[in-house]
Amino acid sequence: MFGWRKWIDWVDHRLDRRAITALIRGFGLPATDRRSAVLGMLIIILLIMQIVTGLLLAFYYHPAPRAAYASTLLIIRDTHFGWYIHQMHVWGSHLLIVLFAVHVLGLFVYGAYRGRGEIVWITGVGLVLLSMQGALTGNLLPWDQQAYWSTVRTLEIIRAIPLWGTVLSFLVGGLAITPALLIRFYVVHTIFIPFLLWACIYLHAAALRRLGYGARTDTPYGTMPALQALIRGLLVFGIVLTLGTLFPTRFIEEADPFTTPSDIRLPWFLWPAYGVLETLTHRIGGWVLFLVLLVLLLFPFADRTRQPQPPGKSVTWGVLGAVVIALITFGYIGYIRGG
Amino acid sequence: MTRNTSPPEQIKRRSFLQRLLQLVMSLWGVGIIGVITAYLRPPRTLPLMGVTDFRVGPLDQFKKGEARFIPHARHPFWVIRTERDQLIALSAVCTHLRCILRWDADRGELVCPCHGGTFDLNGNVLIGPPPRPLRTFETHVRGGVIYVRLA
Amino acid sequence: MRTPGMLTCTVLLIVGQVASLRGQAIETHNFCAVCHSEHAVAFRESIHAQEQMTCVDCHGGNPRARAIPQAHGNGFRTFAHRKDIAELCAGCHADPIKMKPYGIPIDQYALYLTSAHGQRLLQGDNRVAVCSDCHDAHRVLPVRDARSPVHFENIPNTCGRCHADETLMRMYGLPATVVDDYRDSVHGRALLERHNHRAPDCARCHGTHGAAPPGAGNAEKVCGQCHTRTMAFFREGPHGHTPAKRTHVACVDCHGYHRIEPPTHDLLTTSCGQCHTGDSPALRRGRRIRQLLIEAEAAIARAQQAIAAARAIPLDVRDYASWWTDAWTHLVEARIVTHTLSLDMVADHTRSARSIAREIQSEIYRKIRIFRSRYIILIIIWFYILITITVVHHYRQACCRATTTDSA
Repeated sequence: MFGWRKWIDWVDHRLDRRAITALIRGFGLPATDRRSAVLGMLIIILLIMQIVTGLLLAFYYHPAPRAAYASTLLIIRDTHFGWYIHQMHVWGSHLLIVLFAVHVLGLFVYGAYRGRGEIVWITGVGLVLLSMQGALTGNLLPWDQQAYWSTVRTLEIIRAIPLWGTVLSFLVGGLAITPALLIRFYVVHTIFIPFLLWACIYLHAAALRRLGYGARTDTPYGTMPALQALIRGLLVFGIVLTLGTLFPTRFIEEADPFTTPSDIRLPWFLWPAYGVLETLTHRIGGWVLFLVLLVLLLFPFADRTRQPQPPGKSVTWGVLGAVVIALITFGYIGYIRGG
Repeated sequence: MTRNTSPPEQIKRRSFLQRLLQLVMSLWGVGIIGVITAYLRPPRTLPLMGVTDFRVGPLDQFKKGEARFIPHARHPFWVIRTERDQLIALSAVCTHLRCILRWDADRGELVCPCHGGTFDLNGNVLIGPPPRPLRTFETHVRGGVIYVRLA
Repeated sequence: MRTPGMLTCTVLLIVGQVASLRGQAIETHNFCAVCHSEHAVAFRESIHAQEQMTCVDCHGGNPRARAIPQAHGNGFRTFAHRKDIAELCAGCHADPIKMKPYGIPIDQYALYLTSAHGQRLLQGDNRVAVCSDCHDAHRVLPVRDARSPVHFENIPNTCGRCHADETLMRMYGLPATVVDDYRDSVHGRALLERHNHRAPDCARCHGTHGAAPPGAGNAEKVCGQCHTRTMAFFREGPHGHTPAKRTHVACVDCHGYHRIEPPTHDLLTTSCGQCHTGDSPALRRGRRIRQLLIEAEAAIARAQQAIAAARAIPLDVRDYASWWTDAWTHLVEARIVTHTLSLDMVADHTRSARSIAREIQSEIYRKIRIFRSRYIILIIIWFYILITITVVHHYRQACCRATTTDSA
């Protein structure tokens, strides 16, 4: 229809069309119907949406202290559909973190970390952490009171984590909110983290292929996965749009470095970390968080099984249960301690 | 849901659905492109929160033929209201060695006191050592007041 | 201690000594304060006392005498004729050499003699105000001292001591309501309630020492001293230079004398009708100008409402609020320009005010509408999403049942 074939042939006579499709196929993402793969597809769709909305936002956003607020206000209030694009970007980021986290849990439940699955695991966990960093850096960009002061508190948490905290604070140029910090946040958020995300996904897919899960890169994708992706994409779009419309993030008054409002909350995914820091002291809590991160990243190396297989039921439920309980408990503590 | 339809009907159904799908998807495509285009068109009003617009003053206090120098810290500029009622805003910094230009009302030109470089009202170099034309700034009048965009 | 009088004097002497020890300029041997203690206390606070003057400099007498006959001898003056007070004060205050170190003007007495008070005093009226009535005889304080009766905020009260006294004013055929009128006026409220010392008090318009009612033909000169732009516009207008045969029009004809209220556009109907009759072009123009002002005010009020509605959502509209003040300024300008009675000039400003207000209103309501329409947009999009999914679903069934291979 519309002479689809004719156009493709016209291009193909001049340029090997597989060079273009190879970009997608080269990723070699698995397209099966397993739950993990479905989640993975949703994540990719959401990521593409984030990139599109983020790119559109970047056309107006200006990363300097007062101009950041004015340009965000411009986007939200004065441009056509800017409000929707902004809300979708914010809610998309929250959803992305949740999907990544659930996906990692799935990795655990299916035992994909076993055998030669270390890289699959590490890239997976890395993706969760990267998405959280993305949300954190993006959090400051609107430069309203909520953004500014929640970032001040976030930086306190980062300061508490040894080693990794030092690296992060070096990357973002210190722990005081200055115009230089804002620019670095902006660069990290728009360039650095998307690049790392796609790199991690690429490696993740390559590792999966090695383990036998991936799609073959030499045959074309069929219509089925494309249609599946279409349906899922539409649903994701609808859900994010609904969340953004019904529960919009509030954009309050401009950041005032000399007035701290009384109702500032940390981003929700930092509540457990904050709870840990509040329960133990900041120092001990910082080390605890650091160790948790290390364990999280490196525990597949401790596993000696040869084949990827789901771990025993008791282990699975035990670990899952412990993680969920810990997250909820510390999350609650973090929340009520003014998180 | 199995039905014993003959292949030609099946093919017709498939191609109908195919066209329908293409129609639906192209509507999405048009919608998305439309939204993006509408979004990317700069809004009719930029917030006057002093980010880029400089308020020069009321238009009716600016005579025709008058030129005013605004000593803005980062972008000093000249605003000129020509006899033909055009508003021109030009950078006042000479492109040669960054001296501040002076307005020659008789000849309608901007002259540099350092080496005599001369610019016309379009910013082009007429005589002298300046290598590049002057930067122009966009002006607009809103509510009878002249604003200059010093982005 | 042979007589009770001597005993009393001695006691008072001791008391007076103690009292006088607290004084600055009064010599330790100044016994005036023994009997006239309250005057002495008042005098001590005055600026004359600071300049080392004593009782003797005005009253004469012998300050060292302890007995009354001697104390009240030696050229003692009592000022039974109030005319003498003015002459006494002028003795120093009209002397250029004496006043030179202080830089005070020396024309007060001369001005006073031209004033209504001075004229009547010369004719023998002993009831009119002289220097000591306004400046207080003994406790003379500088104008800037808030306790002085001639301080800005105290002047209405000081003048009112006579000019609000009905009995006294009836004797001269003057109204006694002027002070109350002034208190209710714009100027009175500014001075007495908001403590704005730039607001005119009685003396600013009527003159301090040369106090006289500004006569017809002089009134607008007074107003124009502060309301300069308005005066300039008024002079440009038809009332500014009326031909000699017509009645002269001045500010007070529309705005009043003492009870000057905040002007509204209704003045254009009430005051024009005082002179212009029926359907004259003048009346029609006044009505037209009033209409323009009303329309501009309404547009600005609507824009203000729009801003408030947006703020309630909340939408940040501070830039619109500051743009609104541009419109408001145009309205203020229009009101000032009204004094030219030129339809074009007024229309110019009201047009700007209205166009800004209209733009603000339309833009803000557009944004509010878009904001409020988001649920409908959501529903429409979901509708379309479900349609698409249905089509895709059917297509998938139709096309992929026929094919045998799917990619895994």
